[in-house]
Amino acid sequence: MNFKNYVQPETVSEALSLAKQSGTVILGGMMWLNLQKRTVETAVDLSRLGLDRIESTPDGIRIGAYVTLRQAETDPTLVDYTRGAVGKALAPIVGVQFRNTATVGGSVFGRFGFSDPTTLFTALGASVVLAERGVIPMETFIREGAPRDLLTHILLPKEKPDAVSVFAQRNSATDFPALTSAFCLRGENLRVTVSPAPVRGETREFPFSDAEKIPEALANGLKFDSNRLASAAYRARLTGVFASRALEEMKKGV
Amino acid sequence: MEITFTLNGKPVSVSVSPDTPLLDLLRSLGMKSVKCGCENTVCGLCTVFLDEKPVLSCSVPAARVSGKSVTTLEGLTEEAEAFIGFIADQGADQCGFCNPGYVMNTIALLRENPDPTDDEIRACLAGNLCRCSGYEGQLRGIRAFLDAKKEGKR
Repeated sequence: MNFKNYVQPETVSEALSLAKQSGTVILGGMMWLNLQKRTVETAVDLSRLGLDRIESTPDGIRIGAYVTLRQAETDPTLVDYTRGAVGKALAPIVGVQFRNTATVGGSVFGRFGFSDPTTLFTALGASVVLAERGVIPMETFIREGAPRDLLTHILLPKEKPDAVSVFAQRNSATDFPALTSAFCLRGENLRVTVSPAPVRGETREFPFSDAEKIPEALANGLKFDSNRLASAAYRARLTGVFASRALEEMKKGV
Repeated sequence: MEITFTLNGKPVSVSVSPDTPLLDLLRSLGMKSVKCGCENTVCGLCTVFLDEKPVLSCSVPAARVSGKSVTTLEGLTEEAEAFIGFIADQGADQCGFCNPGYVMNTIALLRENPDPTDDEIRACLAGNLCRCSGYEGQLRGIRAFLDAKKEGKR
């Protein structure tokens, strides 16, 4: 990608007003934008907005949009909160250098159907903070998007999960996942997010007591599609298998 | 636009275009260890340290490093020399094109974790592609270096 101007705003409101102008592009870690062959008028770099922190607040955990995937993967608060699942979910993404640059905000704002962080955060019950629209559930954001808005934070609810499991299928190491999934248990409530690229992720909730029915309910109840990585039928099958494995892990651990 | 940053410990002030990648800037400054491979953030050839963390310089706009510290292999020769002989002993240096990025990432790993397991080495170097070595020789070389260090031979 080429750009004619490069701006580093110092405030969120300045960044938002730039985001609203046509011909601007918001830079995250520049991992995916780098693949695009186009020229834009102005690139807006968010690196000076102080959005590179993970903080515990009275309401839960607040993750800045500019936090890198590596920061999230190794942050003790997030590792503890997710019971290690954040490391398992993010460590297979390309290499350390990639994760030191790719940002949580860039991963989430793209609403990619293959995004490991988005899948995990959605299953955890996250909300996104948008500079204009305010706080909205991540599921809503994935469905509707927020064009020309600015993602500033991701919020995780205060209640720490009792168990978290993540599973993804990569046809070879460091490749895009054909499917990624996350399972979050709080009390009797099991919240599941399955992201079967090329389709965007979907979330379902089940009573944990219905565990036996969950793999089939997911495999038959979600929408799957085919692309060069996997067929729709294979993705449906994987979903059932991953759900069974997650439930097994949870039964052992809880 | 004018930027000032620290390159291998020395202050540098240069003029760059808004979309100049750090990779191109570093090579124009004579840092030829920084190789251009995929340009798509997957091969690891262009690995440098930005504020002591390994990053892919093909994906970092040069303008973003203003006020920061950049380190290339040219600035880490002493640290690299401690173990590259072990890699060569295994014949894992091969054509050599991927070596600077791979050596940079190994230095980052050993700084963070001086006694990594084989799985930790594999995981850390997953982002450094090599077309000729098959990776096992690189792993054996690092293992040999770590073993020699434990035995007090390094």
